[in-house]
Amino acid sequence: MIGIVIVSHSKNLGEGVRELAMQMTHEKVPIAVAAGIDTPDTSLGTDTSQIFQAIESIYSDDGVIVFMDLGSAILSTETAIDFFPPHQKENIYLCEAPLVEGVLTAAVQVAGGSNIDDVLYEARNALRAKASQLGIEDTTKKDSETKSIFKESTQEIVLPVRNRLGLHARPAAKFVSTANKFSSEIFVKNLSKNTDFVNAKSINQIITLGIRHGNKIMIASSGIDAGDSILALKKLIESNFDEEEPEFISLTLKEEEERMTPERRADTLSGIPVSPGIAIGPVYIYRPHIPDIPEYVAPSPDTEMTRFLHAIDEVKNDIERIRQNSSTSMDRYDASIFEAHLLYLNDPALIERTRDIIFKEAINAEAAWQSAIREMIISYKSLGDQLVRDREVDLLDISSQVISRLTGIRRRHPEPENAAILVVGELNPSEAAQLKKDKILALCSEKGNKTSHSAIMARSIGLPAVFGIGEDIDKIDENSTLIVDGNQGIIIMDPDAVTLARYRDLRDKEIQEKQETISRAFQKASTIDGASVSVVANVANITDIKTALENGANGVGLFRTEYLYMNRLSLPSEEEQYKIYKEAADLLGDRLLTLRTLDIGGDKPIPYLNIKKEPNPFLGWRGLRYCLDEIGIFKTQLRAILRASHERNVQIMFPMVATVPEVRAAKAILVEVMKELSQAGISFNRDIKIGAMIEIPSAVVMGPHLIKEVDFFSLGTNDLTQYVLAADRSNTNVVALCDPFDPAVLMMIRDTIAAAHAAGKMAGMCGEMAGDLRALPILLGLGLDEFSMIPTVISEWKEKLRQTSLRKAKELAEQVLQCISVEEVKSKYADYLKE
Amino acid sequence: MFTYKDTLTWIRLTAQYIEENKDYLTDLDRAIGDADHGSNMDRGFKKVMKRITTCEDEDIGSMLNMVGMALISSVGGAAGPLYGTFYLQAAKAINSKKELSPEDIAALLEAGTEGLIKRGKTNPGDKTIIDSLQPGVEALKKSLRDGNDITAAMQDAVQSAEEGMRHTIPLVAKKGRASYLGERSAGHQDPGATSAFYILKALRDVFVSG
Ligand SMILES: Nc1ncnc2c1ncn2[C@@H]1O[C@H](COP(=O)(O)OP(=O)(O)OP(=O)(O)O)[C@@H](O)[C@H]1O
Ligand SMILES: [Mg+2]
Repeated sequence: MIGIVIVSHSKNLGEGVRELAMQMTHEKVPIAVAAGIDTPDTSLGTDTSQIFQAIESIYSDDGVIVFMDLGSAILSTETAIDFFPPHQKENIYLCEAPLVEGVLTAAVQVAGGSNIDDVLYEARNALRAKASQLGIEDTTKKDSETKSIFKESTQEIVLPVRNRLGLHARPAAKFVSTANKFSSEIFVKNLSKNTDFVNAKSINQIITLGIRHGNKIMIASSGIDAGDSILALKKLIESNFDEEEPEFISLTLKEEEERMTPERRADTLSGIPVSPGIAIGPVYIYRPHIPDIPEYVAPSPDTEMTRFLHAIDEVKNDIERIRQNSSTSMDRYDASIFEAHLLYLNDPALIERTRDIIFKEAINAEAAWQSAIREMIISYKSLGDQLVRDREVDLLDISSQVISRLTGIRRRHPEPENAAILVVGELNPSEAAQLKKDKILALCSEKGNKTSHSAIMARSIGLPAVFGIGEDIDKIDENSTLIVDGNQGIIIMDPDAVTLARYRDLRDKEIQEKQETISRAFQKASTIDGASVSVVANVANITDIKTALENGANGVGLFRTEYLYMNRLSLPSEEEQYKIYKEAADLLGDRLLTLRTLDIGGDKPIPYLNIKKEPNPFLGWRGLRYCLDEIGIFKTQLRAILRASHERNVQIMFPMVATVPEVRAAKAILVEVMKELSQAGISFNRDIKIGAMIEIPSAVVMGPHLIKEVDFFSLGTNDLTQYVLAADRSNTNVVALCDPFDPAVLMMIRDTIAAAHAAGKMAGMCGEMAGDLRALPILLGLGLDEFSMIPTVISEWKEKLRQTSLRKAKELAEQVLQCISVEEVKSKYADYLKE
Repeated sequence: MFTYKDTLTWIRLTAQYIEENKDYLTDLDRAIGDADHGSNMDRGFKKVMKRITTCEDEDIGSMLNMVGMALISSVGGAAGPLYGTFYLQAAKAINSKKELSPEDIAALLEAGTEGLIKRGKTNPGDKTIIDSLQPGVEALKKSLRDGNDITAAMQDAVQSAEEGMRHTIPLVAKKGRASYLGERSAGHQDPGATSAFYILKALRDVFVSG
């Protein structure tokens, strides 16, 4: 988080300003004060070392902004900054804004999640609100806006946009997130439509450019990383936004024509089939409750602003939560819509506009927000572009979420008492994400099409759905029975007996087919020549385990317990953890549950764990290292795990093992916890199996010694690959090196398996590679015993295994171990496929 | 040659002159500032004297470095970071030398002055420290170039610094607290220019007395 430092000659002044700022931000923003000096003759003055310490105390790479009163405050601060190393120095900004207004504005901005540039911009314009209050014309904003586009250092580029749909929601979101990674000011215009420049960091402004396939755009960037920003955006556009757009999207434009027009029978409605399947059942009509927003004069714009920013924060958290919960049942492409929603909530265009209205019109936050949204929708509409207009639903969705947070009126969710067919005007994504399959049989919507997010969700949870029914939808009677045919896009109201019977047949057949695939998934998987392996799942929560079971997992090879620690403000208690582990194990019955102990570090920070951002998080204080230092946290988890192990099939796995002594130390702690439990008369499984994750090269090398300490190995190929090749997988410049098919990685895998087998123990894998169909024959040939993968790929993976021959796989493995490059491995693999 | 011991004497004399003229400096600052320059400087050099050691094998660079750090962390006013930077930069220029030639001394003062100018972003005539410091250093360099020995050159330096100091009286302050007074700052001698004069005077007296 961005930090703020107040430097003043006077301790009272410094503390006072901090107090004012804290009052507006509920103490969330890190603010440090360096003020006054401690001498017998005076207390007024500034002290470089105090300033240094203040900055250091709240420093993070997100940035620090220093506000100073005058004179030596500035000189001393500049001197203090010289003592920081260059990579930190560049993140420390001295802001010329007036102290009180500057600090207050910055604090509010930081609390609202703005990036450093926006915070600085706002702080520098902090006099605006005051000036307008006094009726003094303010010109700063306009000046800096026009000036910034035409700075001397500006770099420009003109590019055609070639992806199928242009900069619609998801590509626009990607574009804006990429732009936001840079500190430069970036502007874009659509040359083909002769628009003005807009801010590339604002999703709304980008969308208003109406950029479609084939349009030429101009990107102008100025600032220290202007060149890089242009390159990154260029790459993004040229890669067509890495968009593997599901096929259905390409159909959208022709959709209107394709719409089914069956003989119009009075009892039949037609629409767009957006999700296949047949459902028969009663009707549940859902009318979202849109609260009346009264507009009233608000005496304190600052209070309104604080309420507003607070609500925005809360909605961000809500969305984060929904996203976390839905990410396993949807693929990444679908879940990214929530990232787009988060961008809307960060959008300076919306936030600024709301702020303007609050201050200029002195009205309440909800009313101001609503008019900002309304203006945005009007500007969307004026584009006359269907795809852009479709994004209205996103805006309305976040709008109503923010309003419900502001008014405290909770949104009702569509949830009938008994399972029914949901009939709606339009479902917004956050509502769709919370649909419960056991309560909703099918979905009928007046608006929407195949690209609507609710359509995507319906498909991902296998809910039949017909959208775009139009006003006819009003004909559906609350008390009727419906047939929804998601294959053809037909809805039949109160069907006659013959129709009903026919559809029942169809539905039952479908259900039967589905069950057959599922039951196949449950069958043991073995190769053509009869070899079998264990296929288990990687999970993060109870829902995942259910999905894993539905997909035929033999157990859980990796339960990422760190998710229990995320998105909350304090540690999960022993009891809380115990309950979840127990529930997980009970769900799995005889099947194995592998609980990986807390794997956390500088790359996935958890605020209350007090892990500082590290310059090198992947080489830092993470995984088992952290737990061995924070024994209290570790012991709590081990107690919970051990308690859950009583008469259940639970095993423990330690992440990020680098050395033998680490494992010994972890085991010693485990033994200690066992003793404590015994003394307290609490039962647990004394013979609980212990495993080590093999993801650090040193662990591979020491494998033969390490295996003496544990019962099994589990390869974490994601980390192993990046450590073996010393290539950061999040760095686009070197990510190509991070290929698990690199012969060096394959040899590490071979050695790990060999070490385990030599000791008569088992070697599994829970990295992404384990679920990669291409890796299947190689890993099988190398002798891997257990494959742990994301639940949704299990059935496909098993099918593939059934077509594989162990003998051929072994041959392939032999061959790839002789290769000296990834390319060679891949060509050997291609030969294998040809056979 | 100018030794470690001589450096020690320079710092000690500086501290002494500052202490003797503490009230004078404060009075100057009362007229156009916040009446603390004397006590600020005195506090700073007291701290310096507390930290200073007389260990022979230490080099001059690290001693000046220590002086800079002590001033930075104790003066409390603009003079802290300014003079602090002066000594830090001076230390850098001579590194770990144990003896200084006249040219080294000139280089040290010049580097320090440059650092101070950069830190304060001042121009000559802004009514600040550099209005006495810079002419002093320039005179020293010129005098050495003319073939004078260091004692004579330092005499020249102090003379020029003193003239520069007097010349700050009619100036309107452009930097520091005094700048808030605008035109009203004219007619008074700048306290910072005065303390800089004592620093050079102390250096000269190392040669004159020793
Ligand atoms: N930017 C500057 N560059 C060079 N010298 C400066 C600058 N600002 C102030 N000075 C010098 O500092 C002297 C005042 O020093 P002093 O220690 O009294 O600081 P101050 O002005 O009281 O500091 P503060 O800003 O904390 O009030 C001035 O007489 C002037 O010569
Ligand atoms: Mg002063």
